[in-house]
Amino acid sequence: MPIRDALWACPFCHAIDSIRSVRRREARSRCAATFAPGPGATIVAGPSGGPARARSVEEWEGDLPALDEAAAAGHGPVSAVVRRASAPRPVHADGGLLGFAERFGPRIPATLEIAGPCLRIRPVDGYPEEWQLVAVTAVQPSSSSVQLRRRDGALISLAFPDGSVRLWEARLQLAVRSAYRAAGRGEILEFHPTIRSR
Amino acid sequence: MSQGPRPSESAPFLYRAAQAIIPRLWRWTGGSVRILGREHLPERGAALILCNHLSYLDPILLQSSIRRPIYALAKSTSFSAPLTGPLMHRICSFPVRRFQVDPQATRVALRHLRAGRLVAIYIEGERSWNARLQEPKKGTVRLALKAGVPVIPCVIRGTYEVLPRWRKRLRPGPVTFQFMPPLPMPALHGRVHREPLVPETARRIMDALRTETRPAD
Repeated sequence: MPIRDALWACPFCHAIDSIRSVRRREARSRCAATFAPGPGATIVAGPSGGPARARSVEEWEGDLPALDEAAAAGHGPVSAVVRRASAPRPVHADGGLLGFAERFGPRIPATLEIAGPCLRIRPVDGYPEEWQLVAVTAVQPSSSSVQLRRRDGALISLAFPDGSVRLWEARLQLAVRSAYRAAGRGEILEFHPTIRSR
Repeated sequence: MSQGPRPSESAPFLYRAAQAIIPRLWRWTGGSVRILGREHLPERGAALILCNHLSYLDPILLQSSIRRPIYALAKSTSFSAPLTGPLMHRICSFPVRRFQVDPQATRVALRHLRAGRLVAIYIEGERSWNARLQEPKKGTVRLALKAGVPVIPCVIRGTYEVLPRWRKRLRPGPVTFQFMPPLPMPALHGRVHREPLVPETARRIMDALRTETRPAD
């Protein structure tokens, strides 16, 4: 859960999704601004050659383009790590049913692209797959990934080694919203736990 | 945390062991836990504790710092993890599938509450990225209105500074759990009775969670 997940753009050059991890704890944006965890829950950041200062995530957010605007900005294919969930299995305890749990399978490196009404997943090894966004019933953030569930029960987890998971959650929500609208399924009122539209 | 938590109800061995070990370990690393409003937690009987969610540490420190066992909702995929999965129910957790309406999670929560236990739910459903309170999950509010047990809002402070969502390294420090006065809830059977009350009930709970932490008593 690196800094780029919390900050979806560079607060200095405002380039969207431009922060990349460079070392174990540090990050750098396209304009060479540096980012590192600071005291407390602050992020110490500064422009290239300029003074660095420690501010909270909320304070840095004030210098970023709005998340909705950033999500609406165009973007190309990105690298992602895709995991497919198995069918849910029952979880028992003390002779009773506690609930159900899915298990995510192996990590599959892939390229991801939102192309109009569908999400294209091109694994590095394997066959490409398209998810019709109008068939998506949930967009759920989880730790450092976004989980998508389809009407037929298929569930995938998407992680973004070079992208901000916060931004990608917003991008996917926006794309699903557009797909629902285009398919005449109305405006989405809420995404959690399942998409509800009117 | 001057009094070490002592389980007063039957709890799995692992849970009791965690209650014995974690607070000591936390103090040893330089952290501290302060519990405010402990008088609002019932000695016995059911209550639904609704907390804000800032860090992975919230459930660990909350459940290990309160004497009575607290049954908590946890994301279902944690129950499939190779190492922690088999242990989850032994630390009084039960799964919720967050990407769909999960009636079984509601049933289990109601089962615990009807058995007179404490149940904790993180009402935002997800850790905050920036420590700000997020929107409440309406399903949790519906559960509160269905269960008809007192709702105790619990304001968590400090865990964000210790381990925010965007950082991997833990920096032990002071953590506060402030239990607010119980909010009585009606037991409303039937969606038609519950739905009109959901927005107002959510507002009351979130208003309580916005309370600033009291200075040290």
